Amino acid sequence: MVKEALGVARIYTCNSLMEPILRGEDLHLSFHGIHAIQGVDVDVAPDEIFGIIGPNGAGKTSVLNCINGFYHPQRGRIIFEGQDISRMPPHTRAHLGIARTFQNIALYPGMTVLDNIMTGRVIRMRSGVLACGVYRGPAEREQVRHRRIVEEIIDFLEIEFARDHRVADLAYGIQKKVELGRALAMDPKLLILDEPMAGMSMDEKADMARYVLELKEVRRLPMILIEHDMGVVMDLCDRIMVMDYGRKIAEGSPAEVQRNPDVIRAYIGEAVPV
Amino acid sequence: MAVRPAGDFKITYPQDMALLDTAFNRWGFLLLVGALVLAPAWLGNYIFLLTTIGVFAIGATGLALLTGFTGQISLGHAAFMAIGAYASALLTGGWGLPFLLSLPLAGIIAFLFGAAVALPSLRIKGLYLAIATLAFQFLTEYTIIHAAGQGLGAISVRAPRIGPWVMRSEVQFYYVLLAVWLASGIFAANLVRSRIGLALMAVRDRDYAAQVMGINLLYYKALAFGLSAFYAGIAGSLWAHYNRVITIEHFTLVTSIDYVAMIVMGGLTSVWGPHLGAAFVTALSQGLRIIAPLVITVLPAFAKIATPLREIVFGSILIALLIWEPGGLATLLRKLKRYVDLWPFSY
Repeated sequence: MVKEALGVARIYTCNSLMEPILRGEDLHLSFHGIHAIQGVDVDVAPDEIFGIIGPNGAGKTSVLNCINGFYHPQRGRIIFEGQDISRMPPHTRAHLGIARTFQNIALYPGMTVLDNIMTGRVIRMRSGVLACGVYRGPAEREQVRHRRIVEEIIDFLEIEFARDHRVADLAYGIQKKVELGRALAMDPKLLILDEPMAGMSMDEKADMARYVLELKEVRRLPMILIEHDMGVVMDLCDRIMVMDYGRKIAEGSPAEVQRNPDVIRAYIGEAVPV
Repeated sequence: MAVRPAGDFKITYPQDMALLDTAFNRWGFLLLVGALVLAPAWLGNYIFLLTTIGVFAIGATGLALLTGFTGQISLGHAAFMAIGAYASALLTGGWGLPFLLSLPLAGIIAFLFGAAVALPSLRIKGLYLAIATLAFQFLTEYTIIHAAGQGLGAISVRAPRIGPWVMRSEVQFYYVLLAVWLASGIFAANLVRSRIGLALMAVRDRDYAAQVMGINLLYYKALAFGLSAFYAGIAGSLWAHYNRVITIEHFTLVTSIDYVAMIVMGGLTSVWGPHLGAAFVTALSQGLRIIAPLVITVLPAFAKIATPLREIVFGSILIALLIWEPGGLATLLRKLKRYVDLWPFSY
């Protein structure tokens, strides 16, 4: 309630007034001489949806992998909530509150939807091996408490019907929803969405956009979004960074980015005088 | 006329998450336990069969946690059983510890070895991990043979003793075993449905995603190896005190592979799997031991295959199950129950 009340008074467009929740400074990443990222700076404000776009192979996913810890950039550092996380392994960053989804769905195929989302709660549960093995008492109470939260997420994503289905048996669009649910179950402070709408139908895209906006407005959850559907990106994002060949070529509001000649050149190519 | 709604309605989350969630399952389990308690009265001298099944079911439960639920292959499960067996023999023999103390200690010692073996599992996966555990199997056999000095690491073990009560009869031992068997089975089933089980299954199904969900791969792999070794250690300790004389012959690679056969036949991702598998494999081995001499006398032409009969039958059953029912006996049983439930309709 307090958070929502504060949100009303917040100045939405002026990001510079607020300390960024995530800051990447001068990131460099190369694999055996291939420069995936060359000197990229990112700032994500705690109240915004930050879009990253660019042609295939521009280094968008590499930036995400640096943020959540799969890759460690050779140069530069990453600061999350004022703390340098550049050297931390992925699971530690998850504990700090960075959650993500994957471009190619990375659910646990052998488990049910319920269990998949429940694994997001594992880091918020405390029961040890002995308590879990005995189960009666503390472990069971904890399990029930977290089950309630998971059920709320299932409600939010409208996938009640699939609760007890194995994920491998579900349609692609529903799997995408489950993956979002699993990330949400971690109570993240920053949510990274890597192409959440790729391969979806118009209806499913509209649903997903609705969830993203609701998460922003109700939960005040900052997000980093990679997406190829320009309509979606321009409508959802507060600020957009455009990448090409591992470099940042533009950054700004959707309107600014769309007018930027470098961006037009990267996407469409140059007008050749005939 | 009062109308009772048909079906099974769960109103609370604990009901939904219960292990035995329907009246049928609860009564069935109670019947099973009752039968196991009364079994010595019926089985007479054949009680050794149930004892063997129990010991190997405990060991197989450990391997199921590791291979079925965490997805890590191990061909060295018998080595952990050996560690538990020799540890318990030395603790009760040399140090004079009571059996009730040496049993959990044997498990804990095996746990530590298991956690240590897990360390390379962060880097190597699949077949390579299988080879690494195989190396551990041979290393353990070699060490025990050479440390024990005499032939094949033979060592005599004291009769288990609880307080002033010395267990001399098979039936007494069976009841102690039954208590441990039940407790370890329920413990594993609880682990699997709780937070730890979720983390282990996440590691099995997609390790990099598990990492992003905050699951420390090294910790959970070490835990899985440790727990599986703990179960093997307990089984080894029980086996040692049951047999009273152990040699390394009890814990060779063949036993390790039998364990893998048990969990695959029983059903890899079911908490019932290892118990069904252990029962099936033990009963089949004993049955074939009786049949093999008959084959030789009745059909002398087939005498050549009578000796490796066990391997031939096991191999065929394993292949048949992998082709037609990869879920193993546990899935087969579930399908049977469903069929009986719905009979005479097909759905």
